Amino acid sequence: MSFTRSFDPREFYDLVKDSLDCVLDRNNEECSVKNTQAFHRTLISRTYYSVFLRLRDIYFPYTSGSLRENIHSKLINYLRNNGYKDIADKLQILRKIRNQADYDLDIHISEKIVEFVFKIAQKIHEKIDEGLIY
Amino acid sequence: MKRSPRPSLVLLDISHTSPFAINYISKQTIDEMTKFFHKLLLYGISYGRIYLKSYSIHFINNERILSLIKDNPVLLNRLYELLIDLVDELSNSLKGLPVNDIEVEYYKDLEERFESIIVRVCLEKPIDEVLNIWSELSNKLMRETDGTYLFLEILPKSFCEQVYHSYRV
Repeated sequence: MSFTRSFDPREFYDLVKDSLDCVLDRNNEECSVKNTQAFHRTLISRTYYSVFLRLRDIYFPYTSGSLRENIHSKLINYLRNNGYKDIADKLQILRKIRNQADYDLDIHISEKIVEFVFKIAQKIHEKIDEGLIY
Repeated sequence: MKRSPRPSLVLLDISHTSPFAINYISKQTIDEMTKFFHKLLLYGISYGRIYLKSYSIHFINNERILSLIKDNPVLLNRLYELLIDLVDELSNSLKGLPVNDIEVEYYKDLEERFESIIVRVCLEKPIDEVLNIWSELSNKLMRETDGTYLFLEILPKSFCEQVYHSYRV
């Protein structure tokens, strides 16, 4: 069953992709985004949510109230229980790095970390788009 | 004066004993051996490091791992099996990969407060190759019942150095 939403979390992913393309293209004079820690941390957070929200929409659509409690770990558990063991491991590291990006002021979030996180998310989005996760 | 070598714990692998040999070992003996290896693993965790074949397994935040695992025999057994299986994969089907170290780290989620044990290998390989090896090993070695207790991470070495090793004492 598919639902029509007013927001598609893939927009987060597209935003991260466009932002990375903009910043990594040193010759792009139109790019006014500054390649800062704040920027890297924001991209990591949006990358995680682009994946999390799409997967949540597949397995726990329109959950409310107590069902929303611990929804991040519920989703990892669900993926694991249903044979998507590699996706569960990858979602967990996206979450872990997202937590560090949002809360840990002692770690330096480099451009390379953002690129790796983006690559993991890209693989998961591709699997969803190909109908390999359902 | 010649210095004596630093003592080290070596965990033996009994998981691949041939079925022929197992016919001659009673279930009670296997249970006793399993208990013995579990004790050895617990001792290794409290020591901070064990050696399995040619691999050094380093336990980070080992006291937390110990407190999570000591009253949970299922998790202890799963960690033991995962380490044995991982080393088996690295030394057989993935032979040739430049890996000597395996890290086992305690993790607690900041928001949802779940506690986990993460088993990590860092590889000096291109990102795409690392991601493929990771998917293959996750699907092969992890179990449906592992939930959020146990995770496997196969990561590029450069990522490990920036995220994990740079601020660790």
